[in-house]
Amino acid sequence: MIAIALLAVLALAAPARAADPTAAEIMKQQRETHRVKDEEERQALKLVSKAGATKERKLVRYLLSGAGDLDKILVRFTAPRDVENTGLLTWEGKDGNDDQWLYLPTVKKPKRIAASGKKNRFMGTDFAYEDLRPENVAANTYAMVGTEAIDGVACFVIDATPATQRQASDSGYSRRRVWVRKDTLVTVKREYYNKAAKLEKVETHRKLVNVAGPVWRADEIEMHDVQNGTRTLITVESRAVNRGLKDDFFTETELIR
Amino acid sequence: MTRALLWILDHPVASCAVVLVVTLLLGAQIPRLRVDESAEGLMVQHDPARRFYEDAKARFGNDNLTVVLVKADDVFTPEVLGVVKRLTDGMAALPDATRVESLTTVKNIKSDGDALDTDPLVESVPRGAAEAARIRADALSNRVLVGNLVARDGRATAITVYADPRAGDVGFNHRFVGQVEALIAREQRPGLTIFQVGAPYTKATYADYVTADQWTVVPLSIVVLLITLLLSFRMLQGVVIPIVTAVVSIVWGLGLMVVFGLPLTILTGILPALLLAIGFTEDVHMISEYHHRLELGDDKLTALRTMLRESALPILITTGTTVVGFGSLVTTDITMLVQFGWASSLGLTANFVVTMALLPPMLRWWRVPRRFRHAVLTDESEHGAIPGFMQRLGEFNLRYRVPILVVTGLLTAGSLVGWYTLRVNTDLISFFPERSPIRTRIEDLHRSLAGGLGFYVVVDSARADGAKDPTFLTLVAGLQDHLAATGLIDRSVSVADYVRTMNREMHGGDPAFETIPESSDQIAQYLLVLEGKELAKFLDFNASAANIVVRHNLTGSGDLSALLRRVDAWAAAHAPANITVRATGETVLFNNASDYMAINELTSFVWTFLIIGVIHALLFMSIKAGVLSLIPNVVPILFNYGLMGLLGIPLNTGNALIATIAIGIAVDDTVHHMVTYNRQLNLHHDQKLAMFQTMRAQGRPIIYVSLALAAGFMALVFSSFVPTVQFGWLAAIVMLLAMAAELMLTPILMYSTRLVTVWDLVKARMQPAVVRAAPLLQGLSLWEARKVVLLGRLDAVAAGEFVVRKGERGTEMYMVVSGRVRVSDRLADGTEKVLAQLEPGAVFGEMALVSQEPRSAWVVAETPAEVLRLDLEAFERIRRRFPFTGAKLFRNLARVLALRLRHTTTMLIEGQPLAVVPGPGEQS
Repeated sequence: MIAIALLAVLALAAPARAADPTAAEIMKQQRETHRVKDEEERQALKLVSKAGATKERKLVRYLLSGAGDLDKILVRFTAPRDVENTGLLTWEGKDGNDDQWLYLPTVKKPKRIAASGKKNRFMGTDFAYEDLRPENVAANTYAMVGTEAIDGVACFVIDATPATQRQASDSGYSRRRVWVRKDTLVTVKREYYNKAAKLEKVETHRKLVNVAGPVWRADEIEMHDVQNGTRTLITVESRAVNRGLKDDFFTETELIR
Repeated sequence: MTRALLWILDHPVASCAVVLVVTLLLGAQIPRLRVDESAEGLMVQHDPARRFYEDAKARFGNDNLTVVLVKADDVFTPEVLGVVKRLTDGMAALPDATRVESLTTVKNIKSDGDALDTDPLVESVPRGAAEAARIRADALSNRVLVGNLVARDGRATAITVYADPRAGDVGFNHRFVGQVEALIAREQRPGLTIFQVGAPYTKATYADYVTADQWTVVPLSIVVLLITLLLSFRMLQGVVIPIVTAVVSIVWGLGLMVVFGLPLTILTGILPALLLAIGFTEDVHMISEYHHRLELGDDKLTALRTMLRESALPILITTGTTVVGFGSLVTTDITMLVQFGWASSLGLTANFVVTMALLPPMLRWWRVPRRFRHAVLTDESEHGAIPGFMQRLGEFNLRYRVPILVVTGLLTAGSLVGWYTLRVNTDLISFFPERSPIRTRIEDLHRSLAGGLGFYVVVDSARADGAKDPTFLTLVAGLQDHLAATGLIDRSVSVADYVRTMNREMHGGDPAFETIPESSDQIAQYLLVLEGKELAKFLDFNASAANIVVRHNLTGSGDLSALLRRVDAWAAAHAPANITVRATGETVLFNNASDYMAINELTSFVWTFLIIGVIHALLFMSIKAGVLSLIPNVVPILFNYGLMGLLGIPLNTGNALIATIAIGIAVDDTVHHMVTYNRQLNLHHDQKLAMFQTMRAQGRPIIYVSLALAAGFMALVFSSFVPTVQFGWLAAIVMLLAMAAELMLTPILMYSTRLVTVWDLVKARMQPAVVRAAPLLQGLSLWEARKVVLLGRLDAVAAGEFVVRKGERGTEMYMVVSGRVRVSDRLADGTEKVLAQLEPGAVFGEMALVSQEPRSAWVVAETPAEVLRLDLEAFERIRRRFPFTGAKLFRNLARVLALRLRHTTTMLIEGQPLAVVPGPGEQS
């Protein structure tokens, strides 16, 4: 529905390419469509080794949307027992200058993390920090590759490359290819190409749910590191959006609570 | 066999045509020969240690390490760090690289005020001196980095690359080394030294040296060998024929390797040289025999036929023993040895077929060499230096029999002392020349940073999260401290280092906290933060086991084994029952394999020995003969390893093969020697004569072969590859010693021992039942019968030849052993009157023992026959020494005489002779 509306708008704005919105426009529209004020997710993380061994972790993830696409994120582990209450608080900053605090219950005092490592992997998973945050439309350039059906649903296939020098050095990728459903503008698949232009990881979104209005989320996200043969599976156990989380929840005080 | 050879001689064109077709077919395969330069095949296949290693690789990643060392006055400058960054990124992009570690990738766990930094030390090239100085200070205070990736003095830093070659990727080493070399070449500049070392580089260099030898000293060795051969034979025939059969055999051998899917490795690479060395031995023996026959006055075809008839048996035996000897390697558990076993067996069999198919036609078509064309020599000892020399040598041997045996005994005893000090130690690095780039690089890396060799020590709690236990990590740290205290290793890194550093930095960098935390929750929380690709090398997926990565410079298998034993000993003393500690890694497995391999190669040589012994024992129907035939071969090889022990040259995978190859050649000589001796003995029944005849016939090929091979092996010392040089010296010495043993020891042993007894021959000709029932031996135990027979001599008589002539005086009696003889007299009218026909077991001439009257009748052989001759003295000796046996013997003699008397009486009365006096076999 949104897509139709979007297409209608685009048709009026740029009649020349009526049926062909630019990739950048789609990505921007996607970001706007699925944005929420705040979000709380209980996740189960399943890590699968190359040999097929698994281990599980659970966490709660809180997110607060801020101005200028800058979010605040609080992650708190709930299982296994030995890492319970380990927390990580992130304040996204301009030009990638994030602030990050780590709290280890056994050390008691939170530690600020000198954050520059968006490309680092998140706590032993196959996700890098940058994979877990919403698409930063301003920092990338997009190119339409074509359309392709995934599970019988038509998708735009779009290539994303770092737009700025800064983004290029902050990101671990030379290019990402994104599959966006034409109907709901939800991302269903991503391919990540490393600096040597080799395919490094494939991300698949499943169990898409309509959360509120036009907002869709995936309840299952799988990241497959094709280089290492490892996988991480995120299963969302519960979710709440727009509950009215406040800024003061995303603080050091809350982190050590 | 003989018939097949004679057929070939009669159908030379057909035989050569078949060889040509097969050669073309197999030759067409050679371009498809697979070259395998990986060393995977060197590992023990079904070794439980190998499964453990595979498991460790699956848990902690491959240990195929390449170290790129960057040396400068100060590596912490923007320029040098830029080089490191570019090299790191470049190597990370290599298709085979799985992990790259350098100052630009490794987590630098560091607290800065209240902030914790876990980013790599050099994320981007520093812009100014101040930033470079900060990096320097950080790097030199990081326990994971110092001595591992950066030198304490800041003058060297390393980039380590782990590669994961796919199984069967035979060209990996050279490709990978080339790619790394290309990246380095782009960064070389004045003031900077950059080079790579590590497993791929070592293996590729090793392969290069082996290949270089193949193209330089191996051809040189072949040329030297051929020149020596040409000088020996002094005719083209003696060189051209061996080289033709050798080349064709090599084509067959390599073609068969393709057909059977065998790759060219550092071991199968020596197949051409092996085929040449062993293959031409047969040719020389056969050509010599042919020449020997020509010298004796035979025409070409007769000489060829006789030669083929004489050679068939020894050549079958030598090929059989050599094939079985090398073939025994297929029973080992090392892929590369198994492949070598198959390839050499196939190649040697091919060589046999080729020689048999080509040599007779070639000799037939070739004009008889001028030397043999006219002169028919009455006494071959007059002609040529060697037969004369052999005659003198034979006399020398006889005169100095005892000193020669004493010297041999002393040499053997000395060798045994050397054996005692012989160490098994394969040191791959010592194979390269002292000043070669690989050795200087390895030494440089070891001095400036840490050894380029490594292994894993896996400490396993066998339960998930077991490695998060403080006591577990304390054990790991303790083992690391112990390893460092031995002074044998350069560096070790483990998860305990990460945890200790993390603990320190979480407490504001306070060195007092550089310890393992007391709470396992705290360890778990640190590990949660640290977890990732970097830590995966040190901690397995479910945190049940830790991996200590040890870097060292112990290149010798013996030294490494000693260190590994210390690890085991420490673990036995300190590790609780539920925690296992075990070292593994490619170097550890090669270490086990190289010792195993050296021992296996020696085992195969022992097998060859046993088989040769058995064959000789069967040939001579005597175990003693089997054992004796081995002595001349054992002595040189004992001496070889004894000498190695005394000179401190360790037994390694290269020189352990000397025994197998040397024996393959030396035994050929022994077999020819023994077979000829056996024939001569059957002909003359005189050991002394047989010895001289054998030496004269076999001296030439033995000397030619040994000198040519010794010279050929000697040429190998011009190699720049240490094992080739060692092999050249030792093998040449073994060849010369084997020659000396063959020419001096074998004849003496043959002569001094009643090797082939008359009893053996009698037993071989007659059934034991027949022996026991023979009138003369009736009532005697086998042992007693043997004593009697041993005092006699066996005479061979041709059909129509007289054994006893009427009227002659004699003191001997006879027993028929084989064939049939006729006793007859001449009547007055000159016609022959047959008195009796005697078959095996029957006796005649016994009257001479009783009275010294002239013989009363003629005895002539009706068929080719063998008769045992016993004289009066023999009976006397029995009577004196063994009265009981003597009594029985005389009783038998009396019975024979009585029986004869009765026959005579009957004959006189009836005037009829008995048609046939049946042998005892028919009586019973």
